[in-house]
Amino acid sequence: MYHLLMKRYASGGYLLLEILIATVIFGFLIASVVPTLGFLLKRVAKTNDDISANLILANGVETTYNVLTRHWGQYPDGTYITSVDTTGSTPVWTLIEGTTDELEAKYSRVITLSSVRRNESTGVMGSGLVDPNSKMITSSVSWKSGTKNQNVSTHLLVVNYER
Amino acid sequence: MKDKGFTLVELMVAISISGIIFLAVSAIIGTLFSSSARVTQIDTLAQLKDDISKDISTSVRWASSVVVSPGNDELTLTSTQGDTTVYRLVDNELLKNDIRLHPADHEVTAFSVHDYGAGKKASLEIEIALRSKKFTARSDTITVVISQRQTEVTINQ
Repeated sequence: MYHLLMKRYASGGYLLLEILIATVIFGFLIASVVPTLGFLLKRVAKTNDDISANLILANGVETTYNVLTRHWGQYPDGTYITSVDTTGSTPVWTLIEGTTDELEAKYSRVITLSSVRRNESTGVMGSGLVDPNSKMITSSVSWKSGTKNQNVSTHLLVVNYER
Repeated sequence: MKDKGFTLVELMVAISISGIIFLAVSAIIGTLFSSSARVTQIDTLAQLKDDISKDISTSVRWASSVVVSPGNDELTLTSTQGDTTVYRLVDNELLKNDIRLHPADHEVTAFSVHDYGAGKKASLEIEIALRSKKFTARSDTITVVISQRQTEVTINQ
């Protein structure tokens, strides 16, 4: 080692060993930054997916709400997909019986209409008779993020105020 | 090899090795910077999508009157207190009562509103195309559906 060091001082250049050490240290520095960036990119992609999924989820609820309040009592419990009916003079939202709606090539949405049971005297939901003036809309969106299955869902209680 | 200098071959080898190292390092650093800029852009765009859709949703849901212009490019809402809010696109800027809804380094290239509520309570499908001015490749289109409410509702999420 002493011999090597003397040689380095004598010539005034760098040893191969020194260059190797410098390269390895630099490599470690780069290697420590790259995973952080990878994580950031993944996180950003996830945020983007979540926002899109939530929009699709909400859009389903909003459409169903509109159709349901316009045609109260015409849609039995079940799963539906939303569509635009263009047969009339102006295009309107409509619900078609169906299970899953594939959207934006990535998300699948299921909209379910279900009856609401209420306690006859208190009106509290859960048990009792089926309330003909209440319906529960459940919207659920699932998608694949890498290999993981993701899912979001929401409920909206719709009450018929035009009874 | 009595002279203390370097031979031409030694110099050329040294220069080409340093050149390769320099190229590799600059490529790595360039990637790091562009990735971090990309993260920021995607993040900003995602945030914008969320902000704009929430803003319009809340306004439409509780408006007492919703009017879509014949050209499907302007939305006028009237609150129960009688205040009006106008959403429209002017020179690639989405304005809410003439106040821009997005930062100056982003633009809205399309804004269209359709009412599918059959002339009763409004149910709008709004399409908005957003993009970054500096990085025009960074763009996105969102579709927001909002129905005007009949009365109070409960949302459990």
